[in-house]
Amino acid sequence: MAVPRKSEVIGSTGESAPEDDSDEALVARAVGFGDTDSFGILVDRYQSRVRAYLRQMTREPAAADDMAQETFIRAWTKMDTFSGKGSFSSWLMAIAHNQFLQTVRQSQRQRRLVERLEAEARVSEALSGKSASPSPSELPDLPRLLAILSGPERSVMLLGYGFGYSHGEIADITGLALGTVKSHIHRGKARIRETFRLEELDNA
Amino acid sequence: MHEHGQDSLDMQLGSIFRQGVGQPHDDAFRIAVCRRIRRRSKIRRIVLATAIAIGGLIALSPAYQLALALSDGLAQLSSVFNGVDWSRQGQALYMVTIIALLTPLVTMILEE
Repeated sequence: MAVPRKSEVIGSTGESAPEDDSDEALVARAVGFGDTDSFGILVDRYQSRVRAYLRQMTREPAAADDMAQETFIRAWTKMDTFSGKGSFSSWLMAIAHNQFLQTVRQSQRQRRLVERLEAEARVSEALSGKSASPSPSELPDLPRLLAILSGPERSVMLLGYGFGYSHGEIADITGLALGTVKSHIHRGKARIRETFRLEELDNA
Repeated sequence: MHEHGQDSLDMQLGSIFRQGVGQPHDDAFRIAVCRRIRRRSKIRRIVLATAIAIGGLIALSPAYQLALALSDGLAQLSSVFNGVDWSRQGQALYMVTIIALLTPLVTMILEE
């Protein structure tokens, strides 16, 4: 990304690092002048999204917040690689997603996560009676929905339904092919439809 | 998710997911991240300055010798090269190169 001169960046806004500056202007300041205040505004702007995503993926708030911190530190060190072609939000979420995958691989948390999710699935099954399918009038909450999904399904559906990213953006964030993203969403929906009979809610 | 052909299940899922993801937000998080970034920047600056200072000190003596030798003039070029102790120059340059190569590694380790 071409880094404008400081006078150009500041001149465009009249002040240094105002809260309502565009992401691109803040990134330019952070890259060009090592302006941590500008980066602080970006942290403020996107911390909810990154932390919420990682919390839902890990189901461990403390571990998720550690990962979120690492995500922002990594974003700071890699800031000059932000091309500006896509949104800063997608770029940041891609770092968060990779941070999650890397942490899971390194710490073998995946095994514990799977166990936890399996346990949650058993609990939700027990709560809803012998059958895994609740009555149509029963609206499942997010943890129960996520518990029946595979890792990739959980990831793409969270990014799509939870944070409003398009299929193309999800492909960029996760590094999956567009067709793979669509098939994960399709399979996830089919699993949810089958397990919770969600569509029947409309007719109930 | 703004895709064509959304069905009622998409709308229901959108509602459940948006309500369920939560919005964790606090100043302590931003402060912690910014503090770590400033610390890293500070360490980077210190290590870089130290490496430059050490490298400069090591290079000072041979550079001074070389400058003295070169000051004899281009006319005495052959005698200049005979006057320089290349084994010493080479050793110093070797040290500077090693420091230059190791500096990023040391910085990375300290930052971690």
